[in-house]
Amino acid sequence: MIVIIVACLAGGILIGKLAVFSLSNITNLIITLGLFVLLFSVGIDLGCNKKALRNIREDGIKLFIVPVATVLGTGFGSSLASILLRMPLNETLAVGAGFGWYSLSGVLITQMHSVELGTVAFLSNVIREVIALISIPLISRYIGSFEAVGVAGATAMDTALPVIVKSNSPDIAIYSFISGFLLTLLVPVLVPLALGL
Amino acid sequence: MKILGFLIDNSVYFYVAFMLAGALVGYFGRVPNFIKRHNGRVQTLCLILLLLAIGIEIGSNEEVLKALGNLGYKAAAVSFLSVLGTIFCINIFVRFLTKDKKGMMNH
Repeated sequence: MIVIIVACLAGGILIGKLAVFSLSNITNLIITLGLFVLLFSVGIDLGCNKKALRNIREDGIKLFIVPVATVLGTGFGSSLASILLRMPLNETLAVGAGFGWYSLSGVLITQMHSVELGTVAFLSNVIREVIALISIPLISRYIGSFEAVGVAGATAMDTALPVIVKSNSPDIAIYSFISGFLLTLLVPVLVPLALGL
Repeated sequence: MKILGFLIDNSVYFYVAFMLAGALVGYFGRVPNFIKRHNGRVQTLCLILLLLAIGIEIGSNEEVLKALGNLGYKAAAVSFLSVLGTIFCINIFVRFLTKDKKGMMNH
């Protein structure tokens, strides 16, 4: 996955640098339509997973602790970053609100705000995913399973899920999936909301 | 082309709408097996196209290219602090809202 990410980005940057005429109309179209297809496809995955949806009803409030605390903790950390980096609060909050979903948050912020902040968002969320993948085994062991799920953010339902399940007892999977699921749903809501602050 | 312009201008609403539509189709509809099987591939393909498009936008923007080092350090700071904040918050929540301090999933 990391290889694909780096190769595509590097290839795109090269094309963009060498292009003699503006491609921004085409890229804008690709991004919008590509996201439509991607989100529809992710939606089908979520809808097909009836077991996860049923568990939300049965296990109730306990399932919401991790995603709620993740939103609050990420907001807290992003606010701190705003002070340290002397960046506007709405910008760091929007960047943090990607919860590791780099493709959506990077694109969304590029489109709604600026290429510059979109790049920060993209990089920041790639870094969050990498931090998660590397630190989940350690966090599970020395701090706790719920913290490991939260660190993974939106990736707790896909890329980080196998790592989380391997580092904890298997019944964490449903917590992980649902936390990632809810955070994924929140990204397209919270990012524009944060930018608008 | 007018429709595309409308879609692009209001894309945020359509993003949410498309994901919800997918979820409803997945939940209530009968999704053919070949779609389920290739869903992951569709997502990877979209991701590749999106990453290329983002790369092109970055590559054609001279100012961003110049600032990349500076942007990277900002990005890393936001993600690192977000991760720390998340661990801290979950730790507090789990401590106060559940009886098990280490998180019930630990063995």
